[in-house]
Amino acid sequence: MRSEEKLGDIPAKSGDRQMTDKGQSLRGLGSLLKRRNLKDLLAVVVPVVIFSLAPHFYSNEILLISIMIYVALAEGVNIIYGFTGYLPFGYVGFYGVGAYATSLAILDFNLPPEVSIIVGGAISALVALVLMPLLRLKGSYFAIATLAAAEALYAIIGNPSLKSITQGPYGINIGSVYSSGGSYVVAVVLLGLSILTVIAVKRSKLGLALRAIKNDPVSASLSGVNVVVERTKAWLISAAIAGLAGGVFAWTITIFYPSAVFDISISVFAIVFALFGGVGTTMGPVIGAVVLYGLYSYVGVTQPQYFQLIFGAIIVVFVLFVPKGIVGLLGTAINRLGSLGQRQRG
Amino acid sequence: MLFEYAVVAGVLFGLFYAFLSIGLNLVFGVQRIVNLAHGDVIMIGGFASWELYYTYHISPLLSVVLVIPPTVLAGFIIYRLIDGPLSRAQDPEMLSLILFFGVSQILEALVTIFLGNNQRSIPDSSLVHGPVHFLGQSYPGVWWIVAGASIPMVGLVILYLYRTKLGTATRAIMADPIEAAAVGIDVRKVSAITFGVGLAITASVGAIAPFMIGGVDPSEGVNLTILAFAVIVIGSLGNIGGTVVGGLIFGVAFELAQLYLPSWSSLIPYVLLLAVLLFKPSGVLGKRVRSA
Amino acid sequence: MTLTNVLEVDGVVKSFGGFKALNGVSLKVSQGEIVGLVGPNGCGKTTLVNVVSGIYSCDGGSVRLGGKDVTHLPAHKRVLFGVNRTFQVPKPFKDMTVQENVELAWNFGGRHGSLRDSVLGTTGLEDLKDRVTSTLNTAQQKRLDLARALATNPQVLFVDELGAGLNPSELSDLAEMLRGISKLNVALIVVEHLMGFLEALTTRVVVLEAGKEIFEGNIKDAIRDKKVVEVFLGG
Repeated sequence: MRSEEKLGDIPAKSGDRQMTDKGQSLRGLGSLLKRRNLKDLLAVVVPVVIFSLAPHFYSNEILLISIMIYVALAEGVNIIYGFTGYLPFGYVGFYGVGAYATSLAILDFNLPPEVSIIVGGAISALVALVLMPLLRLKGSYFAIATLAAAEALYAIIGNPSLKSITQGPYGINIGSVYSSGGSYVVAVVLLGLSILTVIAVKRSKLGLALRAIKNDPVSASLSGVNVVVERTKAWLISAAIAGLAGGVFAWTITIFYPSAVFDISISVFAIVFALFGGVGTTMGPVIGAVVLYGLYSYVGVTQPQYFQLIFGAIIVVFVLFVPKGIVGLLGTAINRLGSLGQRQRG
Repeated sequence: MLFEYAVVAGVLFGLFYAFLSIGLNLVFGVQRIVNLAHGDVIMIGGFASWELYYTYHISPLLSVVLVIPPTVLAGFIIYRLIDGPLSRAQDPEMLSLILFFGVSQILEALVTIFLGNNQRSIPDSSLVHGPVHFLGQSYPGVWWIVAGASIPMVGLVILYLYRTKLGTATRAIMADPIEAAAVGIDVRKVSAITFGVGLAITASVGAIAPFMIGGVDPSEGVNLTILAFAVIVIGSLGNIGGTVVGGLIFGVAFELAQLYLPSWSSLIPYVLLLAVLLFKPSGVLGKRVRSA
Repeated sequence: MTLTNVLEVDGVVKSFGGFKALNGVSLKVSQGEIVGLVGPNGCGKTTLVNVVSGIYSCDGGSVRLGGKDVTHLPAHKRVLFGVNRTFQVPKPFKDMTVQENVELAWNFGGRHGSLRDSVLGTTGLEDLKDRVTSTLNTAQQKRLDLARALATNPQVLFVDELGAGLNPSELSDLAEMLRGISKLNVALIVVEHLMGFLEALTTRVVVLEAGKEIFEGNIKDAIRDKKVVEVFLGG
């Protein structure tokens, strides 16, 4: 009898509550959404504006472009690692493929550089599609397998036997299309696009699914999520970004060897920048790339080993103690300050 | 005749590869630690051997043994440091991978800072004079010496695992850490020792690796790590005996590729690793590595 | 009224290494029915749930949902054919809010379903919907598992030891909740050790022992059945 009564009056009660709850939560949701929209808008606009204006104040455009390329790469790592927990050591493979595909589109098909860069991104995504079976592996095997895949791509593209197609180890020269203004604009577009992509993924159904998979793949599949397909989407997006970044690099630098675009330290940089800034956040990789690459170019180019030491230490320390990166750290600090302020006011 | 040469060379290198990879497999077998600094430990063993040879005129063959005690100790301490965070982690395997990736960067940087980034080599004459003739072919003498040293070293690891009390405890932990703890094995201590032994055997192979890979330099770590992974994945992860099979398959495949497709032979480690992971993920003697 | 079988498990075999966890188990469940699944630890109950929900593939036999053979479909596709389950140790998405957990399941697994807005009320989680899941206690996480499963609009729902650790009054609330769910035309297969709980709830029980079915029928008869008594007293 008791339980029937209970069953009888629960709906009425919760109905009442729902009315007030809905009002409150709708208003709350509204302001939350607005705040989120503003935050996301700023996350794209601020870096784009800063980098658009930067050449007026700072003349080293190559450095600025490099920073933008690394922001894109770190955001690309963010999409696959931050959202799925799959660490792509071989991420540089897509960068190298993008650089080569872009250059060959220019040399062999006379496509304009801007179009060629898009071709570079597309070809990288295509390579990622071929490598899709790697996503069936457990995380740690995936990391090593992608590294092997990147080395294999390097060994193929830089192979002397393919001299007639890729110039093999002798490098690429697209000096005929050099345009410092043009490549700068494209780099700014790449920067904005990469940040926008992270925001879009975060807000989409895909983002929700990826978070679920990272939390618990079994429960995700029991919610109807096709784990492999959703991971693949993140993988392809991430690869395309690296391909575009490689294309922008190729157009900026115009003469390069395969060893320059398949250098494992490019993966390392992108991963460290993302980890340092905070994976899974929108701004983390931007902050990580700007701060660390800025620092690197200031003191690191002549003595890279000291930077390697610092990067190694960052990986160890951040993975163990600051898993949410600088942005996470700032967030906690701001929250604490906020609650401190409230307490004082109250 | 060239075919026979490649097969013999492949077997010699295969034994060396087994020695080169067995430590990685041992460390992985216990507590699932993915040691991405494996290649860097080999590199450090190489520099130690170089230093001992040029400063104290100690034969690299002796260094193979000399580097073991300090590395066991270092490994034991490192394990104690990382054991806590690893056991608390949601995915310890992945955490160990990133962690040791950082360690690998640190080691490479430190060696570069203190020793410079030039390649160094130890003359073959420190081990043996002249080539060795076998079945009508002539081979560099060091290949035979290194392969000859690899057999007892790998044998010792296997003996340690199957004939000592500590080894039996190690295998129990490899099979099931919880069960092992239940029968009274000090899992933490045995794991730390095994980690130390795994690193030591790796530094040990480093002492003679310069003869097989043309020298020692700070940046060689990554490629050696991938190579070792290819070998243990072929032989199957966590299976120590499988490492020997993996090393031999890898060695012979690589030499044959150098013979018939010389410009593509550098692809062999990567292609073999990818192929085994994708098509026979359990290796020769099987464990599951797929998740979906 | 004719009852249609929403779930037909036929002679399912599953072994791990040499050990046969399921050795030819069959089970038929009709629309909206509540069936108890009992047996000593290690008898294969949870393995059966895993095989039917597609977490494990089976080595023999077949699984049909609403007449459709799903034996070779992966878990995420089976969900769309109307099977779901909860876990003995709950497995919600810990970094998400309660609402997001349900939203995800509805979005991917139950878009044709009408349960989206009511599941939190049904499972008593309405007040907790904005909480991050990791802050919930185990009993609440188990109910969230149930809510997540319900959001996919299942025809067949396995409930794995939801009652463990609850006090009598909580148990009677739980029984009420499950009865309410079955009234939504969801067939429930309740895996449970608590016989009293099952007696109040189910029309029929299936008893497993060592990967085989040893009894099927009314729970009152089960308690009197020689084999069943032997298994329970002996194990």
